[in-house]
Amino acid sequence: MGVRKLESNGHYDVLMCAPVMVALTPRGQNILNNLNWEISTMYIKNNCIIFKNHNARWLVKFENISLIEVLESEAGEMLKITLSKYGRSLLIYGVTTTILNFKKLLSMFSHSEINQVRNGALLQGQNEQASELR
Amino acid sequence: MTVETFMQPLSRTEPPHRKTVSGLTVDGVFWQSDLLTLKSVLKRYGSSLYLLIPKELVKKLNLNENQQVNLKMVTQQNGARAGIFVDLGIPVVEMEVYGLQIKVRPRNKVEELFNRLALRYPVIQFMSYPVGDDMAEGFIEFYDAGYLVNYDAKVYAEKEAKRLGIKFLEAKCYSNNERWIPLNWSAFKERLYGGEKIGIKWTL
Repeated sequence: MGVRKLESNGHYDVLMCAPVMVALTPRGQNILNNLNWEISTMYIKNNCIIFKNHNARWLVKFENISLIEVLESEAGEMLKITLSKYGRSLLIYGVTTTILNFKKLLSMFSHSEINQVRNGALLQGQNEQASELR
Repeated sequence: MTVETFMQPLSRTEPPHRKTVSGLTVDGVFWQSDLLTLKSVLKRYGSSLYLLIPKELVKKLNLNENQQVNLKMVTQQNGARAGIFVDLGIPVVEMEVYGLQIKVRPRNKVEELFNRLALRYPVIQFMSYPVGDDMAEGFIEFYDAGYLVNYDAKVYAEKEAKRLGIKFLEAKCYSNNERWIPLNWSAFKERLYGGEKIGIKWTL
């Protein structure tokens, strides 16, 4: 696990900016339903991934990423980034091309393989809420 | 309640759109809601009834012509009728995206070029990564902001690249149709990117 350096200056020299939906799992838990999804702008620059919106700013350093997984759900593919500290994971969802390009960038600087996981239960919380109202 | 009483105009002392923040208990579940009083029309057509929804509600619910919805009568615990629950289904965002794929040298000036394009055009996303000797490959995507936006952006990018001392090794325009589901509809509605250029399709 871990990351590799591509450039002599210590930076990976990758750049990305895209609107995504992001959710943070509760500390020490791996619950993927009933998450609070937020819209934010994702920036990748200077070995960091920054999620920024009107009420929050999250910064993830490349070196703090321990595991990358692609979750397949009924809404499409999502990326799950497990952090080596804090016992939390970030879920990222967006337009298909954004997720594909993000995967491409992650595979450039990460040693860890990107695992493909089928997870139909991801949107279960939302579906249950909807069916309660039906 | 007859149709006539239903169509009674609001009294003159009340403003036309009275809005109060209140709650309602339906089937033991408390709903905090904004109650809106609006005029409407109920029309009989054979054995069917047409409820004509006021334009304020149509706008609020983003309803489109011939859109299919599920209707369910919801009642209070004591059996009194409380309202109609309108299930619109799952919103799917559909938008036409225009992009410019580039390969440039030197790579450290790509960010400045993207920033300049973002000041002029409605940019959705951009990306660049290193390739070969001091080169960068990447793309920048725009919303449908009018006729020939990507061609115009290409010309502008080439002009700005000249100013920045960037050499274009490749520049290609493309367009595609993007489709995705906003997982948090209320948050999405608050911050619609590009507003009217995004098409919402509801699927039951």
